[in-house]
Amino acid sequence: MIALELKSISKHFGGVTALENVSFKLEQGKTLGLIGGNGSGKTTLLNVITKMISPNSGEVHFKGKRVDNLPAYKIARLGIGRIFQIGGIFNNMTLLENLFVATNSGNEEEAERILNEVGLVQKKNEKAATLSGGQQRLLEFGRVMIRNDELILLDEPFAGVSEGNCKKIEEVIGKLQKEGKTIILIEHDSKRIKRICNQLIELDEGKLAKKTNID
Amino acid sequence: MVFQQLVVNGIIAGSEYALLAIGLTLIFGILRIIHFAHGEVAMVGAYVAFVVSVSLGLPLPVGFVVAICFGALLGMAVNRFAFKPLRKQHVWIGLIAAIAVSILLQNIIALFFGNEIKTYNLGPVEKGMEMFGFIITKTQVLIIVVAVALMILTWFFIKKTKTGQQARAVADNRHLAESLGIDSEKVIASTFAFGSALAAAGGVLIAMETNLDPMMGLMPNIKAFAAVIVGGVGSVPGAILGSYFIGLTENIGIWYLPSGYKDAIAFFILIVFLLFRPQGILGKKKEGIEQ
Amino acid sequence: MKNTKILIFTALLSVVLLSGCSQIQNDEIEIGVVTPLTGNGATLGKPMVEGMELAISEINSQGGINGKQLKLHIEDGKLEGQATTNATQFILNVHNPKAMVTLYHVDAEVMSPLTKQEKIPLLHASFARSILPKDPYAFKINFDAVDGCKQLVEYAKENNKYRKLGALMSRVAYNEYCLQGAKEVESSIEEYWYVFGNTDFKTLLLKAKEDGVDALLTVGIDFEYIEMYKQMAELGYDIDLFCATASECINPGLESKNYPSFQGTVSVDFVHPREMDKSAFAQKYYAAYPNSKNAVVTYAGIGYDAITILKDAFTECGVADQECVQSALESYKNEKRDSVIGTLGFEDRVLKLDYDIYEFNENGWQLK
Repeated sequence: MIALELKSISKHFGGVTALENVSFKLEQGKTLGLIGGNGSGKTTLLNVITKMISPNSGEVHFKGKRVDNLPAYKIARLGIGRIFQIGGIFNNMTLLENLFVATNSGNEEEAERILNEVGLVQKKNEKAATLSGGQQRLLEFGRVMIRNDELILLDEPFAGVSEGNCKKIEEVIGKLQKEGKTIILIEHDSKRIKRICNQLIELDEGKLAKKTNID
Repeated sequence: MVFQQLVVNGIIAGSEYALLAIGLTLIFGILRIIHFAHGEVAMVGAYVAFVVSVSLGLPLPVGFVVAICFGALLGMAVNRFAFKPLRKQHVWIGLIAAIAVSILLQNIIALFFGNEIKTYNLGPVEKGMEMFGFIITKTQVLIIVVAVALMILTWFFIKKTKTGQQARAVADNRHLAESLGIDSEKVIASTFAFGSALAAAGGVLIAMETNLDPMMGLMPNIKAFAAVIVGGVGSVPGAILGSYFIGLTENIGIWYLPSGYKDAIAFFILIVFLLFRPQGILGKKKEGIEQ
Repeated sequence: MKNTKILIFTALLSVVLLSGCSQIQNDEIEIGVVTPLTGNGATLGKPMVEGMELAISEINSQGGINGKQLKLHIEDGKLEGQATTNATQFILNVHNPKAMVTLYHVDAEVMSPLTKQEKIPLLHASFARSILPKDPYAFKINFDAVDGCKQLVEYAKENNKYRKLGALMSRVAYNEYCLQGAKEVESSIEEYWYVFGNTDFKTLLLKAKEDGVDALLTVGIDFEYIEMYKQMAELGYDIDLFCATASECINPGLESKNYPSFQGTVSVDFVHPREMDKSAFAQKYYAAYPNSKNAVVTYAGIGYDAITILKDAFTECGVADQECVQSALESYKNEKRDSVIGTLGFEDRVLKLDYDIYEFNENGWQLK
């Protein structure tokens, strides 16, 4: 079953073309690596999928339904989650509050369990701003888990993170994969990509340059 | 004796400013616009209560409740028709829109009610109660009590309700909130409704003490804005703290300064904070968040 | 094409000439008045204008002045500088009046430079004399703060109405003159100044109480008096208000509120504040303006008398002779004794009036 399909997505900002005619299909349960140089359009692609920006042309389909005509919050409610390059947490809210606000329930037990899984439960009542970079990423993963997102977009989750936390993050990604989640991962380290991803897409100046299967 | 009286005067003023400051800080926190028309929402609330209680003869508490409801609706209308269409523009445009709404509301009220001072029918004027070395009237006690009650209600709203939590999230990082399925426009509308309802309540309380006229909202709104900056933008406890800080400093300050300087005190404090501690007493220096 | 242009030009020229003509051949004497008719200050502004209208309609019904009808041009100055300036300029430019009238000192200050340029009389019902030295065509037609406050404090001192006197005043000319007059009698006066427009007197009242002051002298406008009395009642301090004029400081509308702080008020006025309401003039006024039953009739009288004074000058001189009108006004003595407010004529362009002292007790104003 195709979880995500992009059809001829193009986006330009003024005179600059960020994405040009990008099309691909992603099967449910697979992990797609997204690589390319700086400014090749990777983050823009994620922004288009989550409707942070509107494409100039093309369509986005999630689980067979067209979604590029929906507002961002409705797309998120369909089960698409994201981990950001920067600023992916609510700084002035506690860890527990960060999780609560992501879901419809205020179930403290479940939130604690998930914080425990990502190794942050001892800081549950502290403000998220006090976390290190790696810990913030783990909190974001916790959020993805409590929401039970089906499609998870990861924007360089390992960048600037300590080795110990990188291991932890890989563990969490592994767990999500076992649960059958569909993942898109933006990453630079080729060894890591080979470890984690099933497929690879390379962007070059907004165009889809190469598709590879890894398994 | 004197000091207690000045402190009480300061607490009364601070309570009035706080009801405006809370709405201002919530709206500023979410939208980064200074809601210049917030004082006029308070003023309209006062006039609504006037119509209900003086023109229609119903008890003032009824007028108070009607004013709060009307204030919420007015706030949502202002958001929907003046701010929302200009959301994507530069923040200066929102500022100008706010000023325009402010002038519009002042003139509409002046057109319907005239410019002269109006009063609620509060019964015969009698000497205030004397206690602990100061004098306070029943109206003034009511102002403090109602304001504190509404502050507690606000705390409840922010901390315990879903909308309150979502409002904090949207204020913290709007795009992130949207990416979590939060309908930020709906949250913004609710925030406007809540903040404007508080402002309307504040307007009625202010009018009980200093009477109504179309310009009555202007100064309190500026003081409330100063309170927001002093307390820390986006922080509700900060807004409350800042309001009492300004109220007390003003009222104690004019014992030592010529009385014409009263408003200047609030402005002076505002400038000092903007220059030396723009994040306010309770604020932290925030990092930029954006996509 | 050329014919069309000539036609249009001729049409425009005729319009211009004819409109000019209508002014020269005007059979009306224009008088302008700018004063608040809405908002703060309208309590006095409105009756004054109504008094003027009353006088004018009487004069016109008797044939006018030398066969010419009087026409009054009224504008609402809102007690606001810019609005008053605009309104004055409008009347001066469009209607070319032979005289202007205004009430409040703050308005007169704004209007005087404009009327002075046109060399027309500005009759202003101000309490302060400060405009007179600057504007030779200005005439003061109301209570005089220097004389009135001096008499008030004189009475209060002689009758032991205070132990320690203070002054609670806005920084406006009429208060400064009032204080000047008061100091001729009582040199030791504690001063508590506030900015005009402020209505929160609580801190100043507290200061006065702490200083042991038991009477406060002031000249204010109704929106100030109402708050002073209310706050004094709520604070319950043992302080009396010495105010001017009696008609204004506890006017009929305020009196009905029955504040306990009214008791002990001492004031000065040139008419009895309540008897005015029963006079023949008042009856005439109420009949013409049934909606003004609670109005301060004194000010209707001031407006009425302003027109009477102008009528005498215009009758003597003919409207176009500005020099004659000026000197007629300067030497006006009211020989016919037909004044509503009891004027004794101008002296140095200040209207001379007969002052009395009044005290307010549970029966209202009492003449002393």
